[in-house]
Parts: sequence; structure tokens; C-alpha cells
Amino acid sequence: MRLGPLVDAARRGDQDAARALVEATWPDTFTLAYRLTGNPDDALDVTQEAYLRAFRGLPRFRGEARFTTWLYRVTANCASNHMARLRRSRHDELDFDRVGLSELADWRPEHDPEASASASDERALLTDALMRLPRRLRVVVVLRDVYDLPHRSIAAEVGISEAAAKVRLQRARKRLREDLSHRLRRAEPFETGQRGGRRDAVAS
Amino acid sequence: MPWPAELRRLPRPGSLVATATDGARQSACYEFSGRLPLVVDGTERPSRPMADHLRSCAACQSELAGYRELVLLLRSLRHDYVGGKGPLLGEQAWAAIAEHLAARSRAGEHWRVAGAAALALAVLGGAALAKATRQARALTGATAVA
Repeated sequence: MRLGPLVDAARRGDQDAARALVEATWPDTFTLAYRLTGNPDDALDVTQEAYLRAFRGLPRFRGEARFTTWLYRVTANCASNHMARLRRSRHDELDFDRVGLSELADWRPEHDPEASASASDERALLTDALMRLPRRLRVVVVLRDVYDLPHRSIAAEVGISEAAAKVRLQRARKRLREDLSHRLRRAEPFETGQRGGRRDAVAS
Repeated sequence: MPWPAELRRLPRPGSLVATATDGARQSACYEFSGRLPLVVDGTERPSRPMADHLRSCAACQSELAGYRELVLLLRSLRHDYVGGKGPLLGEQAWAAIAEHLAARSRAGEHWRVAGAAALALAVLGGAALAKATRQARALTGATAVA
């Protein structure tokens, strides 16, 4: 779907275009927010905030980057601020860096925890591994490797230096690979005859 | 995703040429393996010694291939949406956005009116200036003839 005409119309104040723009980009934006926060409720807050800020900032969007890329940056910034606010305001022991798999399982009806050991879908394993990463590492690897944002943008939105963003990316990839490798090895007895080249390569 | 340029001329599997002793190789593996997560997609370029090591070390090549698969797998998550379509924006958020858009629309209308008025003024001013110039020229001509 071409978003350019919708963006232009929304920029002029067209509410129908704005709704269409939200509908077209919602799954992407919410998924990014979820991957960054690791929690569906926080993801919803972040998504709403991101759209509010995006529409307020639309006159400043010059169309040099793709609208979706720009929206990713806004969402990443909102998520960063949101999580910082939560850390300041919540005094309980909840560790947001390690929001559990159980919460994710409750939220996604299609996700069966009992089947996770034998899951043949690498992407499901990877998604789970991502959720186990500390948030500061997850944010960087998600923005870089899943959403293809440049290092400079990631550093700017997360509020760290470009060098620090690269260090976090390095650690995140290393931990993801170790985690996947460990889980794939553990799951091996259940997957006799199903192991493919890609799986072998990740676990190698 | 391009394979690191420094490693384009990899030996075929099984034909790796031993260029160092096992001890030295392990030491190099230890030294360089930590950087593989960034070398894999060109975020960091391998140094000359690292590139030399990677050309001859099957273990590091295998590890690099693992990172390559990991990054490709991460990229494939781009269109895996969680929670289906999900709930769209709540009424409060829409109200705030709608209010903002309406204000922008009104502002746009004001700017259009102001722009039209400015254009009309410019046209009228131009016409008046042209008329005045013509009159001045005519007057100058008449004075010269006289």
C-alpha cells in the first residue's frame, strides 16, 4: 500500500486519511512497540503515544525517509521514554528486562508453552529468545536487525552514543546465538530428521 | 546481506590450508570471535590479521555463518506481526488526534485565505504599479516633446 498520498492528506488535516494511515501501519507499529517493551499493555500505551506524536510532528516530516521508518523512530523514542518513566514510577520488584515467557504465552492464544520444546519454527524460538534478552540489548537488535534502522538513528532515539549502540548490538547478537544454540541442542531429541541447514548453521 | 568483502575468496570447505599451529589458531579464535557479531553485516570491518585468520579457520567461518543465519532470521521477523491486527487507537487518542488535525485543517484554510488575499493584493499592486509607470513614461515623453 502506498502511504504517500495518505500522509499528504493527513498533513492537510484529513481525518479519514489519518485513520487509514493508522490502520495501514498499526500492525507494524504495535509489533515494534511490543518487541521493545516486551509487554502488550505497555506496547499499547507506546503505540498510542507514538501516533499522537507522529501526527503532531507530521508537518516536520519532509518525506526524505519513508514514513514507516520515521514512525519506527518515533515509536522507538516513545518506548524509550515510556520504559524510563515506568522505571522511575514503579517501585515493585518487577524486572522489565526479563518480562517472562508466561506473560507472552497468556497473551498469544496461538502460543502453546508445552509445545515450545519441540517447536520446529525457528522464528518462534527466536522471538522467545528476543524476549529473554535484557531490554537495553533487545531494543538495539530489534531496531537494527528487524527494522533496519541505521546505528545513528538508534543511538539518537535510545539516547546513547553510536559506539554504545554497536556494543549493545554485538552483545545482543552473541547472546541470541548462544540462547538459540542452547535451545536447539536441547530440542534436538524431539526433532530427529527435521534439522535443516539453517538450523544447523545458527546452532553451529 | 553481502558476505564481508574481506572474505570473498574463501577456500572451499575441506580444502582449508593450515597457516598456523593449533595453539596460535586457538588464540586467534579467542581474540577475534568476539568481533564476529559485528563483522557479519559490515558494521565493523575485519582487520587484516582477522581477515587472514577467518580465511583459514573453519571454526570461525562456521561461527560467522551462524551469525549470518541469525541476522537473516531476525530480518525475516519484520513482517511477523504479534497479536493479529490488535486493538486500534482508543477513543481518547483518536479525539486528541482528530482535534489536532481539525486545528491543522483550520489553519490550512486560514493560510489558503491569507494566500489568496496576498495574491490578489500582489496582482492589484502590480497593476497599479504598471499603470503608474505607464503614466510616468507618458508624462516624461510629453515633457520631452514640449
